[in-house]
Amino acid sequence: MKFKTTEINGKQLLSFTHKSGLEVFIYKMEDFRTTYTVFGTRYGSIDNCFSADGETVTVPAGIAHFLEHKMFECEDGDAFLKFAKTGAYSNAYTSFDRTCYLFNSTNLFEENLKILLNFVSVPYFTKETVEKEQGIIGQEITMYDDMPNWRVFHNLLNALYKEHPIKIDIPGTKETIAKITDKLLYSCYNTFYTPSNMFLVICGDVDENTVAKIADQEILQVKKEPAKAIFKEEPKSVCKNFISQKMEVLKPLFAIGFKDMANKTLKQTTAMDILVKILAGETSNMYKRLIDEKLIDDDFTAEYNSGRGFAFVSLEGASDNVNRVCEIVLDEIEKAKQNGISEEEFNTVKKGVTGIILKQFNNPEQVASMLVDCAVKKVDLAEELKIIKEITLKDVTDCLEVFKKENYALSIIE
Amino acid sequence: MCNKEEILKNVKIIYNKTEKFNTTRIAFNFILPLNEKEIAANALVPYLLTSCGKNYPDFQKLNLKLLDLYNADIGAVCDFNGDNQLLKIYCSFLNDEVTEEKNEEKAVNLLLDLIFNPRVENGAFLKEDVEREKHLTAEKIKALFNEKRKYALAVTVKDMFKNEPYGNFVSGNLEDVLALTGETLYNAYINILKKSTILINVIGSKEPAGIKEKVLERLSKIDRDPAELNETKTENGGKVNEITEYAEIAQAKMVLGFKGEKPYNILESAALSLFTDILGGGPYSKLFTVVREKMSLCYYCAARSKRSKGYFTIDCGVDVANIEKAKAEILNQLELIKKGEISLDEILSSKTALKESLYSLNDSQSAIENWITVNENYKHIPTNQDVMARIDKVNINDIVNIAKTFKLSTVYLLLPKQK
Repeated sequence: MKFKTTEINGKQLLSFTHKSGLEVFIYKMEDFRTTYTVFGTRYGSIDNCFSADGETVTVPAGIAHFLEHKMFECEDGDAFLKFAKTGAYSNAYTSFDRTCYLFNSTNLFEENLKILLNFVSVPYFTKETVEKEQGIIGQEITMYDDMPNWRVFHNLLNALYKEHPIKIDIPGTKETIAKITDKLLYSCYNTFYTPSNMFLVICGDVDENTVAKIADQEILQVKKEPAKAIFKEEPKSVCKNFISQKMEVLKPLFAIGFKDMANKTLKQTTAMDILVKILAGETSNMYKRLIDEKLIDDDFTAEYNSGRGFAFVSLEGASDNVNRVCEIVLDEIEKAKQNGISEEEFNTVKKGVTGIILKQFNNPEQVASMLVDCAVKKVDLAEELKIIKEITLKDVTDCLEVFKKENYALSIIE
Repeated sequence: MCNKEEILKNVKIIYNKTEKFNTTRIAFNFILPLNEKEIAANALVPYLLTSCGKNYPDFQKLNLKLLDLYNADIGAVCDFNGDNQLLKIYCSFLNDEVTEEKNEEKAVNLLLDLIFNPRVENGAFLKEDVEREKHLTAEKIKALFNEKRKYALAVTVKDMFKNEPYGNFVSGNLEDVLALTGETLYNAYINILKKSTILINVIGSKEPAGIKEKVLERLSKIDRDPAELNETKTENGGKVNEITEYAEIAQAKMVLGFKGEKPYNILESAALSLFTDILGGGPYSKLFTVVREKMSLCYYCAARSKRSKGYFTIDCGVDVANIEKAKAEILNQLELIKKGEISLDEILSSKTALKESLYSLNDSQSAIENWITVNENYKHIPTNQDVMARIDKVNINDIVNIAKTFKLSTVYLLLPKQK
């Protein structure tokens, strides 16, 4: 097997494409006892309409997440219990654009890798096991419904998007999951769990030839082109600029969003990341004013999110005076547009962002998370690190145009 | 693995050399006997010290300085370690080899400057800083209510130890926080420097130059009189307290709190860890396999122990209609353990999982640092291998015996308000 080798932060990143189409990334962390491994597919909650065998199929909301739960069940027993024998910690998650299965182990890497590749490669669903899962996931959905932080964010997505399925809750609702059947699960599996739509990321002290050998043994599917999800055209402006929900909270929660054009270049999304830190990070005038006026507390967050067909900035927190928060947020953005961003501020934040990334190389899980993100977005980690160095103040200032009235929405829980 | 030096009475620098990280972590741990009247003031001081300083008059300037040091991370943690209060101020920064700048010395000096050179005038912290930090802490206490699972657990533990200082929130009670002033906080700050046991943990590839001398120089100006730390006590027995609260939620939260007969140190805790893990830890546990998987009653149903205070909790989220069914089954699973109905498979899975998490200890600087802090009182700090050896020796009788020492103390329910 020929591996492509790149040196990142003094260690080697090896990659290769398996004959099945599976992309494999191995970051060699020889001095760490922990190995963090993720086997994922570029399939998430937004992929609920797709074409299969020439027909357009629309599946119930929440099915990607439901499928994730069901994958752990194998004909010869539960995958969790197989990992329990080796001691590895295993888990899985579904987000908008990906489903990932992972284990974290300090022993028996080869056995664990075999279990992981095997249970994700061999689906096993029956009518009975699907019905049982509807009870457990129903409880999970109820739990999320009681979480105001979760609700305020998902409501914001409903305000920002009119057509894009990012507006649908990842786990679906009790009503939508009731429509899920074993047949639908097989249909989604066969469409999106094809190796050429998948990736394997391993960070730790492992031998790459052993990984390649195990992949040969466990990944038996032949290479085929992955299906594509079908998205309706999404308007540029927001669906609505205000959404509110009543829940019992001690103080109102808010999520302010700015919808961005989707599918930007890596350089543009990196510049957006830096811009959001300059505008709303802990060193910004916006953050200082909000804290000084006691409008927010330190769990205020500002992030840029992007994926297939969506991109937006979100500012979230809790406040007794959400109107005043919005005033300050918009005022500071206006000031940045009028007065520009200073070279000094830009350089300091860029230095900070570089530090954030370098520190992640201390932790196999965090390196894996960066590599998974790159795999999903089909970008090169080394390229991403290089781009940060190359970003200029102009690149960042150009992104300010995202922050305009027609892109703005507010979600509150009170 | 550790080099421990007592540089003054009850002031130790513990250096743990490790080459695998590109950062160095230094933590100042101030440990004091838990005193109900002092919890709120003591707990706020580390946050105040890490938000500004004489040379960094506001947090914006401080944060800019941290970004300029390649996002050096300065933070505070307050917790209880048994019946003692632990106040931690830490800094984690990239090594000079990575930044190719003099990052390390600047970061160490910044940390020392924040701890020993606070922004005070006339024997008081400045009002604007105090009000800002009080507000942030008060909001944190209030915000707990928004996270119902955490809230339910916190209220249960508070109730289990309601007649002792441990039965307080780690940040203190809301009314105590709101009553704090610049003067009371300054007095608390001086008291912390004088009375606490101080552990300075350094985890990294090399000990920052001159750190011992720098600390000694600053502490020499303080009239140190360290207080004796508390020996943690746990007692069980008495009647079970039942608490029911209501909130606008869809899913009920239930917590059962159990008290043991004593706290456990790290080397004694192997049987306790196995007991709670087999009951409601990993996916092989009784609560996961029966209450969640077989009966589909809960999405989460977990048991967690706190060895340093000798108690454990079981918490779950459940439909109101199924509360009694879930409670009966949870208690039934606990009884099965007490009767010795534990399979070899369960013991083996649990031992393997617990050892796995111990193996990974040395892959995280904060985990190493916390381990040293809570186990420092041993002459030779136990290693993860020492604890693994203890886990290997635990047998079914040890698990049954420890399970039998716990008694139900509090049953807490958070129910949906009736519409």
